[in-house]
Amino acid sequence: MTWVNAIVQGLLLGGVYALFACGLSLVFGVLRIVNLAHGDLTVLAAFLAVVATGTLGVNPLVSLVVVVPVMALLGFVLQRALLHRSLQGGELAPLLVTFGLSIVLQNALLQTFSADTRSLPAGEFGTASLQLGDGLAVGWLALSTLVVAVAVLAGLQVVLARTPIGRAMRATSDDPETAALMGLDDRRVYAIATAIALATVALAGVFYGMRGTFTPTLGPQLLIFAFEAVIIGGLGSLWGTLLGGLVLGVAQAVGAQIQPSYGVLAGHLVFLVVLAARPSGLLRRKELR
Amino acid sequence: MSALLRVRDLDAYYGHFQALSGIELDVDAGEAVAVIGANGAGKSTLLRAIAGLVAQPAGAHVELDGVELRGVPAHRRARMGVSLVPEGRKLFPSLTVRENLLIAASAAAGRSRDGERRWSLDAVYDLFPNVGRLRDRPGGALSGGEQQAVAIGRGLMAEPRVLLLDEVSLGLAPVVVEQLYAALGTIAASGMAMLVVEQDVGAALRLAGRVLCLRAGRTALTGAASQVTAAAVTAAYFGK
Repeated sequence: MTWVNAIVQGLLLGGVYALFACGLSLVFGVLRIVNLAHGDLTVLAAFLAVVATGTLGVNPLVSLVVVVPVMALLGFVLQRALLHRSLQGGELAPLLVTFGLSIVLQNALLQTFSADTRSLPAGEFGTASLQLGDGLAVGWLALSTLVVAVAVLAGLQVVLARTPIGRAMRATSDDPETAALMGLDDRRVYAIATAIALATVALAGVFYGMRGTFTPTLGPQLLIFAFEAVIIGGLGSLWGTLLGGLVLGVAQAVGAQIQPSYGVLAGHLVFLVVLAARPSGLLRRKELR
Repeated sequence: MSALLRVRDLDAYYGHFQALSGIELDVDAGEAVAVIGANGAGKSTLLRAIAGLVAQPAGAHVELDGVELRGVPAHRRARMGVSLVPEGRKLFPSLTVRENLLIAASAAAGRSRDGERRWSLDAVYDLFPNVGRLRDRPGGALSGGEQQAVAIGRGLMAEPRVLLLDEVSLGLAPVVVEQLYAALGTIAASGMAMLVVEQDVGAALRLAGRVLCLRAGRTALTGAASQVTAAAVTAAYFGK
């Protein structure tokens, strides 16, 4: 039962990683940008939730009503004002720009909120669990995170496969020049994709903040987990991102079961094995759908 | 009366290389004009410049129905009615044939309501019956001829006022080229203004009313297709 518990807890942890990673996957799939500020934007969303809960006196889940639109708007503006310009500068420019953005965000958060460790108060919801058997319990918050991750990825899948804006995103991802010949404004399409990605980042930040603690400098570590989930699953594949998150979570939980300090190491080792054996990921991207 | 598409003093550059120099061209409503010339003569660059994919320098004029297009980006030119079927077809590989066609329809959304549309999915399927049969196949999984038919259909779905066609016959079997040009004849007969870049001079001249021959980015010959002789075309091509 101990090992079953480790796997179940690993799957639940994988839900968090999948939620972290889906925005990164979407931005890479549509814009072909590896957003090195992704982790810091997740932390920013968590701090926005700190402000919203403190100011409005609401539950962190209710704060999503504010945090999600604010992050989506930030994504839209970020793409129009910064990332689109960097796209004109070749493949290296977006990497440098998002790296710079990462540093700016970390320092701005440090300046504003200090280096203190924070968390979002989840109340009873954070500690309540569902007893599935002897020695096996599933936390409601962890289960909710996994359900939200699956719902977000399924929703993105539907948007990409079935809606005009999803079609526009896939076409622009395939060939921006030809997409322009079809009347598609790549700046607008990319901005909408980034807005959606940062809305998912907002969800990831708030759920992470409710599950654990965070500091202004946590972003790069979250980026690594998100990056590993995306690579394990397959770059640009949304279902691959879910699978990658679950594999990473299970690897960490099983590693921690062997020896508590092996948890993160086990995740990194699985990532390296997948990278060596199947560089294109477990679910190779054929198309963004 | 002013031409539907009017090009004056059009230069185009790739870096420091001048690909077009002082091109002048009129395309009237309902008229088909063929652009011919050897490889590197600037034919595709001319279409790309009109479509907004190549920068239009100051002093160069491209007008659609009297509206100057300088500074208008490609996506807005498409919405205004300039539709380019690019060289190499350039279908979106991750979209199905049907989706490839529908994506172009959004270009016309601002200009025509559904009831006023001349080109619908059914109209394209009628023009190219094999496209209808392939509607659920990915754009990247078609033969060259099938891709070209979809690319032309996609260009039509944008409800163009001027249809620009770049190297329709490139890499295709003669029998396929014949079928595609039969369809283009139908489109031309419907009153569509067309500018056709083509290596297959015979096919282009049978379709077009007028011809423009480019050599090294400059106009080498222009005139009515019915009055252009083989010797004049050869001389314009090779400069002899």
